[in-house]
Amino acid sequence: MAKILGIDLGTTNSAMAIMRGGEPEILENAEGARTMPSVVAVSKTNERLTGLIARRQAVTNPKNTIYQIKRFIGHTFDEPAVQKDRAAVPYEMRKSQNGGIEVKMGDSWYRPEEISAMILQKLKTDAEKRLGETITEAVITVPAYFNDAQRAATRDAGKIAGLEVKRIINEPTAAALAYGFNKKKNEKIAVFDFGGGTFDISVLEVGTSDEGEGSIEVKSTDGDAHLGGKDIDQKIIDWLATEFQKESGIDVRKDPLARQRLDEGAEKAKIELSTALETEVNIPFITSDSSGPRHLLIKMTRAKLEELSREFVDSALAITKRAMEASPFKVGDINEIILVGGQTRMPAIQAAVEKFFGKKPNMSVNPDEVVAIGAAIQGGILGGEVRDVLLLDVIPLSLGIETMGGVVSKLVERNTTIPTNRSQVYSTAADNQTSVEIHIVQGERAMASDNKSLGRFVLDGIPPAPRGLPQIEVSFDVDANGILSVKAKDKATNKEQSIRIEASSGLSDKDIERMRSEAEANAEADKKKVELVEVRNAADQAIYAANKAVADNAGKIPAELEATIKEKVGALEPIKHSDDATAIKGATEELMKEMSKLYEAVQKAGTEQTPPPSPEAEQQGEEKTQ
Amino acid sequence: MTVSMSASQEEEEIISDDESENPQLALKRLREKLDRAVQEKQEYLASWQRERADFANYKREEEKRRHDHDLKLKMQFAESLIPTLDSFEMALKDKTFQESDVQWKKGMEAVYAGLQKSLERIGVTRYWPSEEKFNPHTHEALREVVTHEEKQNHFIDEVERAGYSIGDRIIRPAQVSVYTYKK
Repeated sequence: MAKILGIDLGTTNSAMAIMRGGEPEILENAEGARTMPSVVAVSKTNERLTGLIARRQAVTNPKNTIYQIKRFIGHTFDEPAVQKDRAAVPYEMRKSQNGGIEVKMGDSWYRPEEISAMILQKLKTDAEKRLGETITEAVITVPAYFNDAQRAATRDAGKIAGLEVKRIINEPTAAALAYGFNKKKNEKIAVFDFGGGTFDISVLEVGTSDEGEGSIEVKSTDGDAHLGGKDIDQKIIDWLATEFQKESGIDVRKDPLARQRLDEGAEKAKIELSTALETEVNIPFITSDSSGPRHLLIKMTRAKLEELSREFVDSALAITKRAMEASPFKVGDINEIILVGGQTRMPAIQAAVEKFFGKKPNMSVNPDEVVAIGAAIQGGILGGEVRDVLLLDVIPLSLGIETMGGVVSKLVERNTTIPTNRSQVYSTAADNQTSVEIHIVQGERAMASDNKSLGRFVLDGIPPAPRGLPQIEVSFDVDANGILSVKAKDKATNKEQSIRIEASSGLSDKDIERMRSEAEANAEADKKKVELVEVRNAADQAIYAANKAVADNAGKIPAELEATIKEKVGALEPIKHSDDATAIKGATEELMKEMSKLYEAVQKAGTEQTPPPSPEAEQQGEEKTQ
Repeated sequence: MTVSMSASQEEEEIISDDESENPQLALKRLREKLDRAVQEKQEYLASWQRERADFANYKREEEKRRHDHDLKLKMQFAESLIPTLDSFEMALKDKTFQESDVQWKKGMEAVYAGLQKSLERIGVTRYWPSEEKFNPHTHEALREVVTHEEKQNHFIDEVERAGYSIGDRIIRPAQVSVYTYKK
């Protein structure tokens, strides 16, 4: 089953996404960017360029650099909107034989759909390169106000690019899909799309299609094709340039390099003011005059940015009001508001939208990518990516075994997708321990006794060895039906023992919920219990290490030190199983201090014998079973 | 949840009353059942193979993603430093600086070189494409300069700001002015 590419074919920028492993994912283009300028050019050396590369040469090749072609697709040449937009672009345009539009690029004339096809072709090629497979199908988004001719032309563009367009969907619909809002019947959604160069507002309602599935209907749509983030950017640039001119008398807008640096500074300030209340536009050596170098250092506040952008935000809100009036709903009926377009990151826009609708807008999905994400989801639905044939289940409660001190060691965490298998190596808790008991438990509590016991078995025949040395591998295997098989194997002898538990999933939903809530309610108390066990285990370990070290190094350590260690062991021994964690910890630390002295003494004695094992090193090893 | 079917239940499903009298009906029913089972098996096998393939691909892609992520972090670091380096270069080119004390000049140039070195260490290359033919893959045109010499057409007149790249990725194209030939 080939992948269906979701494409947001935008006026200024385009983006693409794909479903992978049931999740939508934005695909980066060959230049490593997540969005691509919708620009096509034929360079002076007759090379066809697309995206960022085409934009880089636009200044020196304006007549052959085609941008904003989306404004012309599916239109006829004589339409007033076309004539108005035509005056604003530097490339040549003519009326085609059928009354349509043709633009000149290089020595040839192209229909807008052919130019759009070049953008789509670049996206297709980059996606194929990234995925390592051929892409032949796509879902392409268009503005909700696009008429049939514009939609047909977009579909043709896809065809020219070698793509079978499985569906043309509305941009606001795609945004709603990205948020999964298609699932709630009668949901009323407003999509506020403030892009780089255009503003669109759409009011949608989720209904039921003839097939009984959720369908999204556009109830009203409005917008301004010449209102966008670029207007705000220009306003900031002009303000900065004017401020600088007031101080220096120099208009930096006339110098292309200074202008470029100003553009970048303004963009950076705008981004910073999304999170900070004040920023400094800092462009040292922006220009120079007879008195020497000049620096542009201007403080800009969020309030200033809001003042500069107010007229555009107000205008967008007026259009939103109009769209609401044209819809069958009142403002208060809207359940969800979605923000689309990078400009909506501006807190002033978010606040204005929230004030207008009286609700917080959704903006958790990247507003530059939300439309492409929605297109990919639509592709996933059409391509059967979300299939019911293979329902993967998860285990509702964690599975683990009881370890030293009654603490649970989880092998399979809850919500792990099954079938699955996990294994972990444990060791013995006592010297010359020849058998281990594997106690399998289910639940979220930290102590084994608080969880449900599923079964237990004994692995014996372990060769006698010091504690911590044997390696017992415990493996859990949960099949697709939730049946658990547990196996324990002594890695030295390969001796193994296993158990099969069919009832691991035999809990009712109520039981599961109860066990989960109990775990939550007891989380703090359980944590304390585990801490106490850990302190006890550490004490036990310290005593073991101390006794061993003293025995191994008999005669090599000062008698006084040996006596102190024995005394400290004597102090710790009777309290090591008590409930007083502080006392155990204190006594353990005191013993450890003496142990450090012992190591020093052993080292000083220059013994050739291997130094005794440190309790810390042993504790870092495998966990101990009971 | 385990759903298992006992042998007697299976028997019941296979042979209904009518079929027990007519073996052909039973055979037909069994054939249909087998066909369904074969079809389901194919579907499951295909889904399983796809899952395995997806996982193998995912692992490979994850490795690549990690590499890309490293690259992105380096690019972000370079991007944040480049405007300061631009300003530094402007300062070094300035007449007042050029006329300043030799030791002072030397010191500042060393500081600048140190900053460039820190970018080099993470694999960033600075390029200054003077006298090259304009190439939008690595250069960005800021302005056009008219020339009356045809051989200069489409060549770089002046590099306004250096370009920076890492591997085959352009962090920032060199910003240049480009000659355009006019008779």
